[in-house]
Amino acid sequence: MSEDTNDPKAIDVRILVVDDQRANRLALRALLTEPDYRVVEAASAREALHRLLGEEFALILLDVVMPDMSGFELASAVKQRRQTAALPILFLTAEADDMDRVFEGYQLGAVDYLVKPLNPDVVRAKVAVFAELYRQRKRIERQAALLVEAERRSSELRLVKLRLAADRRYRTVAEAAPQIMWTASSDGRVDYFNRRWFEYTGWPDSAPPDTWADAIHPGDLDRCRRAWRTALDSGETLQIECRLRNAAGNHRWHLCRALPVDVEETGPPAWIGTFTDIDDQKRALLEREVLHRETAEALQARDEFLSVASHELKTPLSALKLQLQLLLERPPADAAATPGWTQAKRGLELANRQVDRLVRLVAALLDVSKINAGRLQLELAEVDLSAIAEEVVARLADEAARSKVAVNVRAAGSVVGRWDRLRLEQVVTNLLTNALKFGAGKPVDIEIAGRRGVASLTVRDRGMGIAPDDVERVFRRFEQTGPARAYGGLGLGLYIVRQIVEAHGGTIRVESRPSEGSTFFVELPREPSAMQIAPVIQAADGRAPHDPDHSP
Amino acid sequence: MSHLIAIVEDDADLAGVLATVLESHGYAVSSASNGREALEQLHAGNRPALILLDMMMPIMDGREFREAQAGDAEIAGIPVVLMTADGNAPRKAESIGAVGYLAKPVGIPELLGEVRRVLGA
Repeated sequence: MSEDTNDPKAIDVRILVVDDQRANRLALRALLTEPDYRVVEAASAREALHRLLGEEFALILLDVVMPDMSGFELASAVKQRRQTAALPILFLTAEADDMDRVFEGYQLGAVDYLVKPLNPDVVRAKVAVFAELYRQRKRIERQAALLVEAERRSSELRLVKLRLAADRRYRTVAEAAPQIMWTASSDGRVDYFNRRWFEYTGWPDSAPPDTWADAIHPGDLDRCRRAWRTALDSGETLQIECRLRNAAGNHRWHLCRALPVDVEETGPPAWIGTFTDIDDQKRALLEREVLHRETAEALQARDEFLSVASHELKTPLSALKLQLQLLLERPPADAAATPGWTQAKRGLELANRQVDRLVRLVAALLDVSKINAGRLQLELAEVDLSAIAEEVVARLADEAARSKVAVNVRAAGSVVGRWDRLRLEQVVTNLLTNALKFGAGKPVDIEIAGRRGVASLTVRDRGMGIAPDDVERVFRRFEQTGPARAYGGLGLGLYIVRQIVEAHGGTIRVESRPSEGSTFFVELPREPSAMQIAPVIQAADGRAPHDPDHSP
Repeated sequence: MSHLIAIVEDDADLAGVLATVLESHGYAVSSASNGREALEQLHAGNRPALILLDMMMPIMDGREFREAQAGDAEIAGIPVVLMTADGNAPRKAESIGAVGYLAKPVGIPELLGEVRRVLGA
């Protein structure tokens, strides 16, 4: 306890003396002298109330009989005021005839009385008791206030300690973190870096934190400063990728993030930031981008090559074909009379057929190249499969006649679907050409039928057939069953057919018995949906099209 | 009077045999070895009933020729049949606004069929 609470003089004991007789007031003043007491006089009840409003008193000495308001009335008023309700009142009364009124006074909250004429010793003794009570109450109040203050100080101290502990814990965590961590004040000045920063940069621990800019790649620095400024102004999270120089002098990509922390709190820093090494991911991403671009360029180059190759192969074939056809169609005027013309004409016809074969081979090679490159694009339109079959049969009539094969077409009216007309022509042409080639001169049947949602094409020959072991192989590239060399060709036809059918979301299969012939069944959805159209990315044998072994 | 057909083809052998075939079937023929030369002939007053246009040519290719042709009202209306080795000749023809196409390699029946179809004779 402090000294001034022990010193009774430090507590001002004010006594209000209320009496209309000046002589009585002076007498009391003379009895209750300073410095123990400070006497305040009031000549009337009204004046007393006025005094009570402005000052705190330890005791009231109150004359019972006064002209304006009786002492009892004043006592009642005092007791009703909350601020003065506990104020002790000593009544001053004349003789014992007032004793009845004294009891009335007790009921109003008076604590004691003094009988006039006043006995100085009695007055001093009684007043001293109340003064001492007042002093003690005041001391207790003061101590209570001091306790509250002490309690407040102590809890504040605990709070500070907690903060320091939290800060230490936070710093410990920061020091142990595998990534670079830092803090900055609300004005953007970096005031702390964890150990990882010094390990990474190779800078001494004494390096001031606000030299961070020296570690940033010069090419990224302006961008970083702008982003930091923006974050500071807006109070929003900073997130930026930049290169940081390491101890060896190499730059590695980092993701820099910084979060603002509650600035109301005084302890923690205003910003907490991290640098996370993303160099490996970043480089992988850049490499993927480069790879992607190179692949796209390679595909573009391949497309261009295919386009040029197609043009360069087909242009001389055009000239050759036209020239042969012209010679056959418009022979020299005197040709028929020229010896050996018949033989020459046969030679021209043979050359013409060989050109056609060459044309088909070139087309097949280009198709396979496109399929391998994943570039077989379908042009879907309303197409009648029956009409296509009829057209192809008509176009191959000469060839059928040469092979002495009768081709029977059975179509259940028009069978319409959304397909690629040219590609379906190719399918029918390939299947029919095969049937003519391997049909051993026996009739070939083509059947077209339509069910709900599905169209089917069946091509049956009665020729040599396919050995059971070979059935699976016919749709592969460069496969020909039986005595392949005897029939020529690259073995690409059925491979291309299958790719086209599957690109339409359809299926193809073959049933065959040696020396009884083969039947090819094609089924095509009439409306190939996006899901049904098989990406031609995957080649028939399941290997990726960009497999270097399969590049054209 | 026979129709005049302009052949625009850089391969001299093919252009030559195309001309022979067409002439032997009663057409008059003019030849240009690229788009630029064909344009010069047209600007000089050559007015064919039909242009047989190769796609891939040096100096000025088929597409560039079509752009130049479309920009000159005098000759913009002359119908063009595209000769192309592209796997999808119809789409290629559509993309340059040609009225017809001939997929290389071209045979006599297809050539005459397409010419007659476009000339309406």
